[in-house]
Amino acid sequence: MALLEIDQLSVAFDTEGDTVTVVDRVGFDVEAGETLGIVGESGCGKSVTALTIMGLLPKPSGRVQGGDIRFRGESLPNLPPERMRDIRGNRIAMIFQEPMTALNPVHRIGRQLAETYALHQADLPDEAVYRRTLGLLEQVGIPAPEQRLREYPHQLSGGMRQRVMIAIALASKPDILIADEPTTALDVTIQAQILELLRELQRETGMAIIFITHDLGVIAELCSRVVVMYAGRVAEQAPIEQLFAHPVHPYTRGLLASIPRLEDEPKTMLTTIPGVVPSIEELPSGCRFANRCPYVKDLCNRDAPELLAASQGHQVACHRWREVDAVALEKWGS
Amino acid sequence: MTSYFIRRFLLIIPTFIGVTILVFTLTRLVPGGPIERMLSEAALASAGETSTVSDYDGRGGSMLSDEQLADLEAYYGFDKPVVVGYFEWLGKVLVLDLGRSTRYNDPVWETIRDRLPVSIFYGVCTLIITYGVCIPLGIYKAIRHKSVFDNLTSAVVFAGYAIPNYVVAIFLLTAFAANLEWFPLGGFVSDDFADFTLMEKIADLFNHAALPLIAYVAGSFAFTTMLMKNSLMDNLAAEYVRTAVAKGLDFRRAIFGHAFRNSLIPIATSFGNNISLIITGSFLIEKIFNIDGFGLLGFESLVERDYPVVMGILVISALLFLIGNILSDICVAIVDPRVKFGSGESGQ
Repeated sequence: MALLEIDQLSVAFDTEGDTVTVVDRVGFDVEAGETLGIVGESGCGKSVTALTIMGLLPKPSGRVQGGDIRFRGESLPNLPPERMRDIRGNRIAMIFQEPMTALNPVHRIGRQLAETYALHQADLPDEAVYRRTLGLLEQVGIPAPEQRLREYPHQLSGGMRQRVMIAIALASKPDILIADEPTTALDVTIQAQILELLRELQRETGMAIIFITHDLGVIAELCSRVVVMYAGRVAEQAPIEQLFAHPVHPYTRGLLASIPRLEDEPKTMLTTIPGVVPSIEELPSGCRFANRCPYVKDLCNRDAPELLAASQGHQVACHRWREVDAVALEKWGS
Repeated sequence: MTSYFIRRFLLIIPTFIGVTILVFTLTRLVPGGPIERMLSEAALASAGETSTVSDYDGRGGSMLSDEQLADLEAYYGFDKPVVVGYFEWLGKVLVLDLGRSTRYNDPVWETIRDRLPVSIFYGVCTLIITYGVCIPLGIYKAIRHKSVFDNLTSAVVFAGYAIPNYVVAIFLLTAFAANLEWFPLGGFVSDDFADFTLMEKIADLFNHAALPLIAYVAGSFAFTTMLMKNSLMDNLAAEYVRTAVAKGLDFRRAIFGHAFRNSLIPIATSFGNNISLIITGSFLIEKIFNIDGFGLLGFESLVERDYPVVMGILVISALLFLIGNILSDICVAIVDPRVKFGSGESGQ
């Protein structure tokens, strides 16, 4: 049994007189200690999936429509709120995209760090809480931690704040850390530092990380397995080397082809995937990538493809992946 | 921070001097100023005789004697050059010698001082009721956004806001004082107040105060309640509240431990202004309920052209307003640690 199992999860939002399914039968597992990447463009449902795991869907508009999330075999969507609060922030922690707004501006860093202990380890004496919060700040690489504990978020830089967020998430030594685009708002050097920090912390604590991003480069650096999402569905799922070496879904191919490479001819057009993601109100009944796919056939517009095994640990949702794969192999061969 | 507030308090001085210059200029420039008014009154009184307005050396004199005229001229420094006159007048204002009311012939400061307890009582009560109702109501409305309770209370507070307070006052007076006779018709306390025991005094005070207070606060709920509600809703949607919930906090603790203090920031901004506005009162409500407060005094002095009192009130209101602004700043600084006045980075 995997640590976390997402099983055919569907999430719907109620809009004005309408219900839209933003996450459609998404399924993947997270093993203890691994780093799973979820990649996809804005609005593909990756953040909603993460929020659903945490039970943080905006209420009352968002709800789990179908499927299940099991943490150590326990179904999270069906847990009573008190039990869910024990897991949230304690066994599963989360960090967010915007470190500038994710901390409460009117409370000191120390207080925001200590809050996790007050919630999940209420019997810990104040002195021990102080020492631990200090230790956490040191662990996430914040210089002069004694001073930082007394400071307010606005006195810290973006990178420092994201480190504080990570420290808060680490406070209760969670089994899973969900990182929702934690480096997107940071500049590249800070981004590299934060990724390095996450990798180090994972080595020390053995926690699993679900890393959500739209940046394939970041995924390549950090993750052992990748889930590629497109328009609310899983398009492809594979170990990292497999995905980069041998992508089979046309969307994944398009994504990888659009990464600029150093050996590319300078000042040429970047490769892009033509077309746009179908809007959430008018999703096609068939394959959601059909309108942008170079290999599209009638079948693709008619039926939604199931997620099927392409090889060991490699799954793809495409009717024509074998043919596409064959074409690609031929091209490579020539 | 402390240095900022010291500077702010010191800045009251030049601002206050500016105010006094304006007020003093008024007495010099405005037609119908204090001297002319008295003179014309004197002229009117002596109209039976053959004198004209230009022919005023106070000989008609039933209203104004030579001596009074000289007093008046001396007080405003009309007998001296402008600048000298101004500084002499300013010196008197600083020791609260605001001249004599031409209507009551009492020192202006005493006239104002007598009204202050009434105004402060109503001011403080209004303030307590307004914030005591608006903050909890705003919180509850934010949590129950779009519920029946939310819509209903919105309708009520906006109705109160839309109806002018003197209309509310007249309605209350006719319904509950004149027809039902539940409350007295007006006044601050009963005539035999002095003979009452303490409990009777308190009961009497609030018996008289009930209707005017309702009239005062009826329109004041909308602003602060909606400010509180919207600001709390903004903050509840903020990311740091999501962080707090992600730590495992329940909704109630996320609201009161995190969102609440942040949503007080806009409320704190308007707090000081409310203090100064409320102490100056509303002359219409005071008129309707026959309460001898600041507002009524100002209104009557204006109508009666009792300039020394008008100027005294102007000067004191300006001072209250300046202090109110600083109070706002202090409130904001208490609630919001990001506000660091005066250490290079500006707060607002």
